[in-house]
Amino acid sequence: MSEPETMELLETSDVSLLDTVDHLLNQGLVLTGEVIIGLAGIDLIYLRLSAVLCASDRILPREPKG
Amino acid sequence: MSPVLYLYALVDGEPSGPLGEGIAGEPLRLVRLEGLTLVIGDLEAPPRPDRETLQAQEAVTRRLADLFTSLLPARFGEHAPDESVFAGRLASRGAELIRALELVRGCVQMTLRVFGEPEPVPAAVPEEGGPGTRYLAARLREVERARSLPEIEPLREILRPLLRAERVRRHDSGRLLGTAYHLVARSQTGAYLAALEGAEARLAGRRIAATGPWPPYAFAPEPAA
Repeated sequence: MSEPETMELLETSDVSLLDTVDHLLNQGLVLTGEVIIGLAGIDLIYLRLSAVLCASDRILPREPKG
Repeated sequence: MSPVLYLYALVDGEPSGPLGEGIAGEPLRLVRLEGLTLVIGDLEAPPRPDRETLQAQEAVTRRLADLFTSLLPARFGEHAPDESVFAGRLASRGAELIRALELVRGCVQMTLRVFGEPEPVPAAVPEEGGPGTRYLAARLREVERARSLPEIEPLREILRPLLRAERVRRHDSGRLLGTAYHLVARSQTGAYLAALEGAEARLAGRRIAATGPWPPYAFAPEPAA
């Protein structure tokens, strides 16, 4: 995969979703600690995050260009 | 479900424009408590964590980040039944939150993900002391490793003049080694991306992917224990 194609894929909505999930579930200010996400919700979201992580891993070339 | 106050961000200063609406179309408002300013929406019930709602909150936060020079985004789901609950938590954390607001002033977050083979873990030096001491020392090493990303050390030499702060999270799962969150002056994002161009050559075959600019999600203080 060429570099421009890689960069184009990295800017797709799935990668934006990865950032969104990372920001809003792993980062960010916690004041009250009143977690509202049920266990099922967490599982679903992290399942999706894992899928996106794998996808973004796959689209990157495994070897540096020589 | 009872109505709730939903927290979007902690901010400093006055907004440069209208606050607009939150994730449910509710008007946003500023609430001042304990010397700090919160951006709040009134919701009928806490939101559900689905894809659309997460993306809606990200969009609201990005818009707010453009209105304030200093903003700490809230994590998804931060809500309270009334202002007194927020006030109670702010009262004990005021100083650290003010420091965090000062840190992020005028800055954005750039996110740098690193892929490839990990650096070998240095062999542990035999610890002295009893089993409890050795256990705690091992735990400390694990915690330190979870917050370190030596694989990008060559990049830090290039980026250091541009970084106001850095947070690191190591994944050690698959080929995604970790994520470095960099706090950069809003005016320096172009310089940051330019510095990364061609920098992969320094990384011994590892790959990087940068995204941003984002509101400074990773620079909110850790939740109180």
